[in-house]
Formats: sequence, C-alpha cells, structure tokens
Amino acid sequence: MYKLLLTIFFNLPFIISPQEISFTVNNPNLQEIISEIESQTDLKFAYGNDVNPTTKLVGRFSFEKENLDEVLKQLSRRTPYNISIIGNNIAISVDSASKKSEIEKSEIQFLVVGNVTDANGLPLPSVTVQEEGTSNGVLTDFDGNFSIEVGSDEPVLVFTYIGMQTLRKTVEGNTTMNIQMQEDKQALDEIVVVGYGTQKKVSMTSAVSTISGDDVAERPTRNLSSSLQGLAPGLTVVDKGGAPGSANIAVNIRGVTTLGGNNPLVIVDGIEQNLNDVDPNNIESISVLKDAASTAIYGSRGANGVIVITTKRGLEGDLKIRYNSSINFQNLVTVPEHLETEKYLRLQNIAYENRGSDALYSEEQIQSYISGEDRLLYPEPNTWYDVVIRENAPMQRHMLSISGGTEILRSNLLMNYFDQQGLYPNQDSQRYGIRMNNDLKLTESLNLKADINLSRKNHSSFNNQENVYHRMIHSSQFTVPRFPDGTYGLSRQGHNPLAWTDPAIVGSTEATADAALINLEGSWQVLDGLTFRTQYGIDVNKFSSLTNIPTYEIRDYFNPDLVKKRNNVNSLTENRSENLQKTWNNTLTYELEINSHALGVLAGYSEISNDFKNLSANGRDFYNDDLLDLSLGDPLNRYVASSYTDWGLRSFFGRLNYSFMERYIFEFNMRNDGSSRFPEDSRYTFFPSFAGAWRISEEKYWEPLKSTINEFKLRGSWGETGNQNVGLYTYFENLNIANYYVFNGIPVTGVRQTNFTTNDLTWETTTQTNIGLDMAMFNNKFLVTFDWYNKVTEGILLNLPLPGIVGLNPSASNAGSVENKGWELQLNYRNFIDELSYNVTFNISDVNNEILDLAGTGPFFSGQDDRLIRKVGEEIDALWGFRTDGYYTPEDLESGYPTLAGDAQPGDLKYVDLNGDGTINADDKTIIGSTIPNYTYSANIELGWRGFDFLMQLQGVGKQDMSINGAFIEAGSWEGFTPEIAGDYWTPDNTDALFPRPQKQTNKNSWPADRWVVDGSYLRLKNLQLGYSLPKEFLEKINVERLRIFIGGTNLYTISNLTDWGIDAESPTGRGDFYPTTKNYTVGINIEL
Amino acid sequence: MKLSNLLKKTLLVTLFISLSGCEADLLDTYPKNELSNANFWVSEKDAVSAVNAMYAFLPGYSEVEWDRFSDIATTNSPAAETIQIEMGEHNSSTARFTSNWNEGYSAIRAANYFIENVDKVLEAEPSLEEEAIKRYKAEARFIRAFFYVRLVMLFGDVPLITQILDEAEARDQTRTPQEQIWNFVDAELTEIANHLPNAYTGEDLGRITKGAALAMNARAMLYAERWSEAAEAAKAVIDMNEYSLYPNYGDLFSYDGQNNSEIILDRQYAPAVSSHNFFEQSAPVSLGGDVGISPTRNLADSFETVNGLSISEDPAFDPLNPYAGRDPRLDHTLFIPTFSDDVPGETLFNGRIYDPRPGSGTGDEVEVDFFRTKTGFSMDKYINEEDMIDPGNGGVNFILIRYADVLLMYVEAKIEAGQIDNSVYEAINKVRGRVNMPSVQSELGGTELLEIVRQERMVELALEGLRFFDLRRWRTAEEVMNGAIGGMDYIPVGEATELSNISTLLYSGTLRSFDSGRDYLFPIPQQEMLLVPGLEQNPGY
Repeated sequence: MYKLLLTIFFNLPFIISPQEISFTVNNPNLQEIISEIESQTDLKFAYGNDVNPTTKLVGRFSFEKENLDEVLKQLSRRTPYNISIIGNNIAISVDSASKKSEIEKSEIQFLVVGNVTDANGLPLPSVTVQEEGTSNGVLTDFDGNFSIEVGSDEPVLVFTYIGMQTLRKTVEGNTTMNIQMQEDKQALDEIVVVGYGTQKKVSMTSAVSTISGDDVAERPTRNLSSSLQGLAPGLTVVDKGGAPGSANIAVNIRGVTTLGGNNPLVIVDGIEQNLNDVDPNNIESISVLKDAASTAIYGSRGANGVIVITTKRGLEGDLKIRYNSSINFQNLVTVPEHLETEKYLRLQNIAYENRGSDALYSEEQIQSYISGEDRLLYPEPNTWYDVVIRENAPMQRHMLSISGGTEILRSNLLMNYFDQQGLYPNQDSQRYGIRMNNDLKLTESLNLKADINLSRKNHSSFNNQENVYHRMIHSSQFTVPRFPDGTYGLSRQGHNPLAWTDPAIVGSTEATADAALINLEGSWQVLDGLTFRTQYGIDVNKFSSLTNIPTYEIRDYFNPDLVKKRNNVNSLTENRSENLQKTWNNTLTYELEINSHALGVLAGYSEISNDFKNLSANGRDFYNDDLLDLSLGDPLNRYVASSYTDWGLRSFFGRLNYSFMERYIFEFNMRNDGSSRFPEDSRYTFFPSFAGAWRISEEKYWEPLKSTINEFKLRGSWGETGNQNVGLYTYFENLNIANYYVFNGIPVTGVRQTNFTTNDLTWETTTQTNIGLDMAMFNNKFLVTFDWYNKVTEGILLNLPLPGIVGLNPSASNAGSVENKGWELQLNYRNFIDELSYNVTFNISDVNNEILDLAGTGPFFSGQDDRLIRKVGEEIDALWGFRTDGYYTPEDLESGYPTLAGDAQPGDLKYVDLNGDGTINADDKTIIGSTIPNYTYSANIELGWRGFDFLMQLQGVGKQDMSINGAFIEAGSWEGFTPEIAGDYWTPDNTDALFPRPQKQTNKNSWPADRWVVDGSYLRLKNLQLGYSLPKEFLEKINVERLRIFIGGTNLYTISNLTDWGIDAESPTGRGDFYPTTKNYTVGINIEL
Repeated sequence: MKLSNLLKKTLLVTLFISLSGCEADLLDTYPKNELSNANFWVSEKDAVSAVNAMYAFLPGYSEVEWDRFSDIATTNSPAAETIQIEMGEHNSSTARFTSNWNEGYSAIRAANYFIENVDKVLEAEPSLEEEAIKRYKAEARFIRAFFYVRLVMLFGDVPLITQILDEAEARDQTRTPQEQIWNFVDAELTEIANHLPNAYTGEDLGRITKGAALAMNARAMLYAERWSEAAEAAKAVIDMNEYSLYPNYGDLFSYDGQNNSEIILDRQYAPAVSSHNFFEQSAPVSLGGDVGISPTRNLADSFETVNGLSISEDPAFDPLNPYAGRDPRLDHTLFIPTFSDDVPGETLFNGRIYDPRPGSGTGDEVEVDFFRTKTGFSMDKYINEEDMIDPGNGGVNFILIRYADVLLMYVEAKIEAGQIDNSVYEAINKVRGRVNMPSVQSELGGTELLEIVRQERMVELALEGLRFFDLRRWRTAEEVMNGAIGGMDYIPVGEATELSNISTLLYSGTLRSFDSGRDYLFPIPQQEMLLVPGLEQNPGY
C-alpha cells in the first residue's frame, strides 16, 4: 500500500498558475469569454441574475499573452458590464455608471446606504443591489458596503448573489439597511459531502441526496432517524413508535437488499456512529449516498447505502450564542373505538352459543353492565385506552451552543438536554450531551481538528413494557383497573395492563448509556492541491442496567384471603457492557486543474477495530425489595455470565475523478477490504465503481434552451458494494461449553457442538446500476432529480434452515440473490410573490423487490402461523395464507365443500381449496400480499412572509398491504379488544357481514388469509409548524440577534382505510407487542445572541 | 517546488503511517467463550465433559404434557397450541411437531458426534483405560437409542442416522422402516448394557446404568410388539436385583424420594443451577400455581376402591363420598376436591381446603378464569410443599423409568407372548401390594389379565407422560379421545348432601376429535418435507 501512495506521488505534475491570457474570438457571447478565462486561470466568474451570459458582443476579441487585469479592463470597456477581480472570483455586474443615465432623473428621492453580510456575519462583496422594477443597481464593495440612490414611492431593494437566497426588502424610509443573506442550499455550485471528501454538486456523477442541517433541526422529533422521514427520496424511514429511551424506527436506503439487517452505514465526521447519537441541532449537512458510485468507497459496509453527516464547526468572528428549546406533548395517534357494551355482550352470548355452550350473560347481567351502577362487579369491557395511556405526556428538548473564534482557533460548543416521558406511567428517559468541535490552524499548511463528544442516556421503566399494549388489546377484557382500596383487578386470563406498568408489581429497570467520542484530525497541505489527512477516532460506549423484580401479591378484592397472583422471591440482574471502536483513516488527495481539465485523486488507508465486553450477574431472594446489592442475595442462587467479542477491518481505497470543461465527468472509486470475519485466505475483497456524467446543458447547441433549462445533466454509474453482516467467528468449528446438567445436585460442565460450521463464507455483494438526471429550470428555481436503479445482491448471507435431521442450528451461508429495481424523483420549486417566499419539494420513490435465487432451497416461512414467506420469484417476506371466498353457505357444506376446521358452520370464513384436492391444508396457501410499501412519497411546503415562517410536510405511501392479526380480527372469539366494526358479523339474517359468524375460543376464522389483508395506503400530515421571528428593530433594543417562537405538531392528521380499524398506518403488524405511535404538539423558541 | 523537497515530504507521510503502526493482528480474531474442536479431545476430562452435555437432551417435567393428549388429562389454557392437537386441528405446520422432530435429531447428532470423536482421547492419552471410553460411548449410544424410540413412537418410520451428516447428505435421506430402527435399538441397548455399570455413587449418581439400557429396551420392544424381547429385557432388569419398589408411593415424587431404589432413570434437577418451574405451572391456584393441566374424570374414576373393584362394581362405593375408600394412589396423584359442604376436599400445604366447586369463591373454583382447573381435578404428583416459596425454582428430579413400570411391562409382555406364569402375577401384585391393593387372583385368563395390567399402568403411572404412548400402542385412543371432557361430580355450595343434588361438570370448551386413520402418528414437519425431498408424509396430512 505504501507503494501505491508513492506511485501517486511521483506521477504528480506541477501546477503553474498562468499570469497571462491568450485567445481570439469573433462576435462571441459573454459565456464564451467567461469559459476561456476560467479555463486559463484559477479564477471563477460570479454574477447576479441581471447579467445575461448569452449577451452577444460585437467585434473581434483578441488577446495574446495579455495580463489578466488588462484583459478585464478591456472587457469592461467593450461590454455593458463592470468586470473586476474580487478575491478568488471575477465579478460581473451591471455597469451602474452607464445605467444611471437611464434612471428617471426626476424620481431620485433619497440615498440608502447599508451593509450585506452572510449568515455568519461575514461581509459579502459583489452582491447585486437593485431597485425592483428598474434597472437601477449597484454592487457591494469588498467590505459588503453599498450605497444606492432610489426613486419610487415605496422602493423595494432586491439583493442577489450567487449561492445565496435572493432577498427583497422594502426601504420604508430607512436610509440605513443591514442585510443578512442566507445561503441558497439548492444552488448548483453547492458543495456536497461524499465519502472521504467533498464534491461540487455540478460535477457529481452519483446518486446522492443532501439534507441541510437546518431542515433536520426544525423538526421537533425525539431523534435524528425520525427527523429524516420524507426528506430524501429513496431514504425510507418507517417510524413504528418508540418508548422513552428506545426507538423502533426502520431506516433503509433503496429497499430491502438483504435478508438480514438493512441499516445504512452512518458516518459522522469520518467515524462510524449510531444515527440517533447525533444531536439534530448540531448538523451542518447530511448526504445520503445511494448508488454504487458513491458507496463503493465504503466497500464492504456500503451495500445498504451510507448516510454521511458533518457536524457544525466554529466560524471566525464574534461569539455567537444560540439557544433552542421546545416542549412536545405526546398522545396516541389512533384510539380505536370499542364495540358498544350491550352489542358486545350479545355478541359474546352468540359466540358461546355457537360453540355449543350456554350464553354467558343473562339479560339481568347485561342490564347491569349497561347501567354501570356497580362498575366493580360489572366493569366496562375495555377501558385501557383511558386508564393506561397518559394524555399529553411531555417531551422536551433544549440546546445551547456557543461558537466563534479567531483565524487560529475556532470552536463550537454545544450542549443539549432531552427528556421524554412515556405514554405509560412510570417510564422516562433523559439524554445529556456535550460536543466541542475545535479547529486549530497551526501554520498556513497545517490544520488540526479536535472534537470531543460526550453523552449520557438514562432510561427508567417498569419491566416488559412491550407487554402493556399487547395486553391492552388482548386477554384483558372486563377487568377493574383498580379497586377503591388500590387492589388491581385481574382478567380471566390473569392480566391487568395498568398493573403491568407498576414497578411494584412487574419491577423496573434503570439503564445508563455513556458514550465518549474523541476525534482528532490533522491535515497537511503538502503542496498546492495535494493534501494529506490523518484522522484517529476513539468511540467508547458503556452501558449498564439494573433490573429488579420485586415480591408482590395481588389479592382478590372481594375475597382478600385469596391471592390471585404473586411473586414470592425477588431478584436483581445487573448488566454491564463496553464497546470500544477505534478508527484510523488516512487520505491523500490531489487536485489539479489545467485549462479545461480538472483531475482529482484520492488514496486512502483505514483500520477499524472493535472490542465488545459484556458482564451480567443475577441474584435472588433478597431481604427486601429495596436492596440493590447483588452480594446480599441467596449465596446459592447466583449466576454470572460474560462475553467478549472483537472484529477488525483493514481497507485500502481510492477515487479518481476527471472532468473536462465541467461538461464531461468521469469517476472511479474502489476499496479493498479485509475483514476478520473471514478465514485468512478469503479475507480481502475488492469493490470497484465507475461513473460518468454529461452536462448536456454545457454544450453549445444547448444555448437556445439555456435560459429555460439552465442545467441538464445525465448521470450513470455501475459498481459493487458489500455487506459485512456476517456473524463473528463463523469459520471456527466451535464447541459450546456450559453447565448443561446436574448429577446428584452438583452442576457439571458440558461441551458440545451446537452450530453448523461453514468455512467458505464471503461478503454479500451488491451490484448496482444507476441512471440519473438532474435538471434546473427557470433561473434555477425549479429543480428536478430523477434516478433509476437496479440493485442485485448476490451471495446473500442466509441462515438457510438446515434439515432437522442434521441436528445443528443453521449458520449463515452465501446463498441466494435478491433484486431491487426502483426509481426516485425529487421536484423542487422555489420563488416568491411579493414578500411571500415559498419552497415546495416533492419526493416520490418506488422499489420492487424480488428474490432471484435461494440456492435451490426454500420456500422459507416465518412469523406466527407461517404468515411470511421467502420464495424464489416473490418479494422478500411476502404475506402467505389462504384465499377466501366469503362465508360458507349451507349449500357449500351440504355439497361437501372442504373445510379447514372440523366444525365449520355457515358463516365461517370459506377458505378456497386452491389445489382442488378436496381438502384444505397448508398446500392451499398462496401469496396474499406484500410487506414492502410502494410509492413512498412526501411533500414539503415552506412559506415565509415577513417574520412568519410556515412548514408543512405531507407524507404517505401509495400502495401497501396491512396484514391484520390478533384481537382486531378475532372479534370477540377470545378475550380481546373488539373494535366497533366487529358489530357487523354474520348471522343467518346478515350474511353479507364484515365479520364471520362469532364463535368462542376458536381460531378457525383468524388464520392468515386474504380476508385480513387490507389496504394500508395512507396520507399523513407528518409535520406542521408555524413560526414568527420578532422584528429586528425590536430585537436590537434588547440586544438579541434573532428570536423566533413556534408552534407545531407531528402526525396530526391521517387519511387511511386503517382508521376504521383503529390501527395506525405506521404501526407494526402483529399482536400489539409494540409501543404505539404518537402524535405530538409542540411549542418552542429559538434565540440567537 | 524542488523535487528533493517533495521527496522529503513524501517520506514524512510514509514514515508517519509506518510509525503509527498498523495493528498487525487486527484481522486475527478468535472466539473467547467457546472451545475449538481442533484442540479438544485430548484428555479424559474432555470425554467426560462431552458426554455430560448429552444428558441435557433428556426430557424432564415436560413429559407430563404428553398425557394432555390422552384420556386422563387435558390442556388447561384454551389458547394453548396443544389444544389444536386435542381437537384434531393440527397440521404439519404445528410448531410442536417441528420441535419434537428437531430435538430428537439434535440429540442424535450430538451422540453421533461424540461417538465419532471420543476415540481421539485414547490416542492422546494412551494410559486411559478403554473400558472408561466404552462406558462414555455407551451413555451417548443410550441417548441416541432413547430418541430413536421417541421418534418412531411419534412419527413412525424416520431416517436412521448413525453418523454425522452434512447438509447434502441430509437432503438425500429417506424414511427407514421402523422394523429396522427397532432392530437397531434392540442391538444397541442390548450391547451397551454390558458396558454400563449397575449403579453409580456420589457425584455420578444419575448417570445411565445397565438397568436403564435394559429397561429402555423393554419399553422399545413392547412398542414394537416384540413380546419375547420385551419380556426378556424386563426380566433382565428384575434379575439384576438392583431395584425394588420404594415403600412409600407418595414420596416417590418428592425431594425425600430422590435417587431411591425404584428409580432406573431420571432427569436430574437442582434448584438455582438446573431448576424447573413445574410447581408454578401446574399447582392449583390457591397454592400459587397456574394449573397447566386438568386431569379428567376418566382418570379419577379409574382408581379402584380399596376392595380392588371398580367404583361401578363395588357396592361399598358411596357416590355421596366418592373419594373415600379408594386406591391410595388416587390421593397421591390428584388433589381430592371438595364434594359437598359436608364432604370437604384435601387440605393443601398452606392449610386451605381444595374446593373447586363453582361458587366456592376459592382460588380453585372451576373455570372462573383461564388458570383454573376445567374439570375440578388438579395434579398432585410432583407438587411438593418445598416448592411453594419459590415456585419457579424447583429442583425435584423427574422420573423417566422406574421399577414399577418395568414390572408392569414384564407382565404385559408375558401376557401378550402367551407366557402367563407365576412370575406374572408376582410382578403385578408387587406393584399393587405396595399400596395395599388386593392381589390379582391367578385364575384369570389372558384377556382379562391384559385388561387388568392396562388399568394398572393407567393408575400407577398416571400423569408421568406414559399414558399417551400406551394409548398409541394399544390403538385404543379413538375410543376414549372424542367429544367433551368429563369433570367431577359435586353438590353445589349450600345444598344438602343428597343424591338428587349431585351436579356433574362437563367441559365442552375443548371438544376432542381423534381420527384413527391419521392421528396415531404426528405429521412430518412441513419445513422438513421441503428440505428433505425424499421424505413421505404420514397418511391423512
């Protein structure tokens, strides 16, 4: 590898900045001259919207080794523009002197003077300041100052600058204006962060979506994953809710490529990190790398896409203090309506009778339930949504940052605090963090970055919280939540979801996670254009938890002598783990521009090592429930367990890009990864990618179109990436050692093989082809990005079920292949009408998944009652079950139509005998739906008017199957929540009902079947926010830079068929073993000093 | 920029990377919590540790569950999967079948692996006596035979695999006719009996003995209907003079009775280190249990009166005090329920009276919730007072083969073989005599005697997981396994103890269905059928 570096070194040509310009053109347009000069110098042209680059110039322009200054002087004279060097740019502006004469002389009323700065307060030179509706305009000077004489009654000044958002300001009698311009994030010369570097957006060849830090910070969510929802096409975030301190959010890029984990790699400032460990307030930019051209440089970790995040750094200038704070109030998104009590009781009686039993409830009892006079004896069927779920459970976020610096040292210090209470009682979590980013300039060519990030998460909850929601809808009907004396009631199956939230009954867990990340980076500009960077990151994560299970007794309220539920022996479990990940990255980059040729080379070397240790200990039978010392338990009843695992990754990588006139662009990426997860002789794998782009809009023949379609670029890429989702040590033939048995009361050590061993494992390889299109229209106000891709993953690591007769647990093997074909479209339009500015973004993407191969095996089933299938030719985890054809009629049964249950009756679900063999069994099952959402879309609408800002995000899925399971389809057969729609059930007089004939304690109508797969498409008002920034004049008096207050909410409104079922469109399917999704109301404030 | 300067800078960068040092062994990781097969099998200790792991395959208290699929008990929770099997609604995807199949072959694989590798120990440690290795191997071969017996009982013909298989070999397997498997089992168990000691002491107590091998063979041969082999094997156990009936039937299943003279093989447990929660799962509610299993009226009624007559035959039987004057084993098998206000039930360990009558208001009241008995009866066997405090941490051993079973197998095999002699009566009367039940008279014919020994197995071995298998080999399940399940007779709370007031419980929540054309065998699991194409499904599935 050193050899590689040296080779690159010695092949470097030297750069000479040309001092002189030579070219000859006849009757050119301005653009041609710009291109000539740009190609011969290091300088770039900058100009505002009022300069038309297609302006035809008359005559012959001929220069022979002319000094640049002289050339520009001549051009200024011969064009209607002022052309001069400002910093590294050549600024073209409308020649104010020549224009002044055109201004209506009589209208000059007063002189406005002012200063223009960027968001960080740095002066902006060469900003075009123009009086709206006139050709009257000036440029700001080097310090950002301007002075302009304005005419009309209520003049409006328009400030334009490339890369900044155009700003309109009414003069309103002010003679002094201090203007701050905001960066225009969408501008085409935007810099995009990519793997191990940055690229100009115009010269990108790959499919990368960018998200600005501000967009993420604005969303009052509980973590970064949920903030990302709907912000980039192809980035799918399904927020399935999350209890305080945990999150059930699925993030994937471009579909499900593998049968194992599909999480993208997350790189924060060069170091792999957990997405949710990053404070959304501290993000400068996020790049979502989607195609192989952008991800191949991450090699074996790139197959699921990569999210590259950079955090905010200090800027030169005065200290800036920012404080953001918001308070959210969390509520359930969906509260299902229970079937009315009387109807439910009568349904129950019919269900019992249909089973052959007597009706359970007498008329007298039914009346008692209805009257509700004695709710202790006649409780309502299901009150858990009122009793267990808290209303407006608070969640708050605070962030304080101080940043600033000198030329030598710049710092950004950020502290944050987050507190979330649960939807259930006795549950909360806090997160504290402090991050300090420092930039030190040692010499002109030596720079140092030193970043420290410390965080602590606390989490406190009763145990088995996933049991609560499950029990609210299952097996807890007719239970008194709490009797007047505090006694918990218990259902017929011995449950009470409220009691299951009580730490005195189910016990509690206190968990703490501490993380420390130290990230040091040095860069040395060896030569002009040649930079060496080395980065060392240490990430330590410590986790500890303490779980206690107390003793308790739940007695019968009416007969206190009777203990209905109890735990006689308490216990304590302590768990500690530590994860240490060390990353060492070295890169050497070289950039060269000669004439119209631009070359970029990157060579890199990286090492990652990971060590994980875990220790857990358990004790039982403590003197009382308050003791938290493991050594005080029963000495004969203790256990201890520990584990220690490690892995390493050694990589060589590189990138080569070349562009000609920024018109034809070519890029090559590669990585050679070696991993400890594989045996020595098959350890290294090479991942290459190629990409190219053609900016057709830069071609001469595009010129007539240029003013409408400003940018038109075609991109294409192909490459390979890998997935390191392989278990550790799989190639060792290991023998498990454990205390397997006791003889005569004495434990003995046992040793045996438990897992099948495979020696020939290798990476999963994803080959991806991407074709993309970038387009900008109407002065870059309308932007279109479209991508089509085909991703084929081969050698998927699969725990192929072994035949049971092999007698070992299966281990992973490279078997099978999955294809994802999809497309992504992003449209963005921004403009303003008077003082109302608007910015609308629409994203839509679709992906189709197919299992191409399972190494000749399969199909494989998973889920309760084999409801999911993996089968060649079908989607991953397609829904598997019976087809139904309404309900059995008496004629069906008389004619001997086959049934699944022996006791099938008219009104039971009629399962179709698909194979016509006269019986209904597993062979009649077929694919009845998909678990992958299609047409995922979102629309983001941002409006600004005077001090007000408004944000609305609509998000949805166009096509999705929802397989309903559990109480909602059992409809009273068991002791579950019975939704209102279940009142429409089959009776001989109502044969066209929504639900089959009720029968107690049978599953015959609730097997996986197409009847219970419903349309799960939805459109949801994901985010809504209205903010108001107080006027500057007022703020100046109190010495505040910015003060904004806002209100908003998430998941406020949903359009979906599932609403009838009382099921949230984003909730997981299943029997309710999850924490339900929430909707939030938010109020907040942003202050900047 | 001069070339030499550039060279210097290049060297500097190179030097930096070399000096910072690549971690040389970055990619050379190895597991720290497991042993490697490569450096195992070098000492006797390795052989012992490896054979120890075999024992974890022995089934334990969950054996009781088998009787839920018989006429003497039913699953308590209406939501359990086992209900599907009781109701005949099971199919080849029912999870229980997959786990039965896989558990069996996991044990067989482990035994085969051991048998193939353990000789390496002899090479590494030549001073080791070959006899010791033979014994260890015999222990593993027993486990293998045990699971073949189990698999044939459950599934019929199954692939006979006697060495470790890789995946490709496994895919080529077909079902071996059970006759061949019985041959294999017979040969194995007969041979290893010679390698195993009669008994162990101290820290080895609980290991597989010669008696276990022979008794297991008797069980297998009885199932195979190879009567003379069965009788011979049982006789061999009897002739060892190693075993005797434990005098106190009730204590057999208690902590006091562990490792007693009647036990031939058991699954050993100990609190904390290798515990079970049988008490928590199975004890009556008022003792703090969840009543996992409801014994049926069929079982309760099958216990004779002290006069050795069935309750329908004995004029001394008093329907108004139905549990008085009965075979003493009734009291040790079930908790006697309260019959009427005047005839209280058994006093439980905590002083409460077991009163499951509807309306009794006790924790044991029938069918108030899912965890109450469905029939009024509750399991007493293996429910020990010691476990009441910490019901999830029990340590009483579960008996897999005991001497009484061997005696009754001997009796049955001899009758079936047409070799009724004095030893037959002696054996059955030993079992009856222990609980002071009248002897069986020697003038009875074969058919009647067979009836008697079957009845004797039902009550002697009730709720030990054997009834289910007995019904299968007798092919009598369809006679007793259909329809609603009978519960106890009782006189409702507050009513006088009079014949006219007797109520009878009938549990119709689980309507049983047994298809004699299908249900004597379980289906081969769906997944296995897909993975091993040569397997054929059992009839009816």
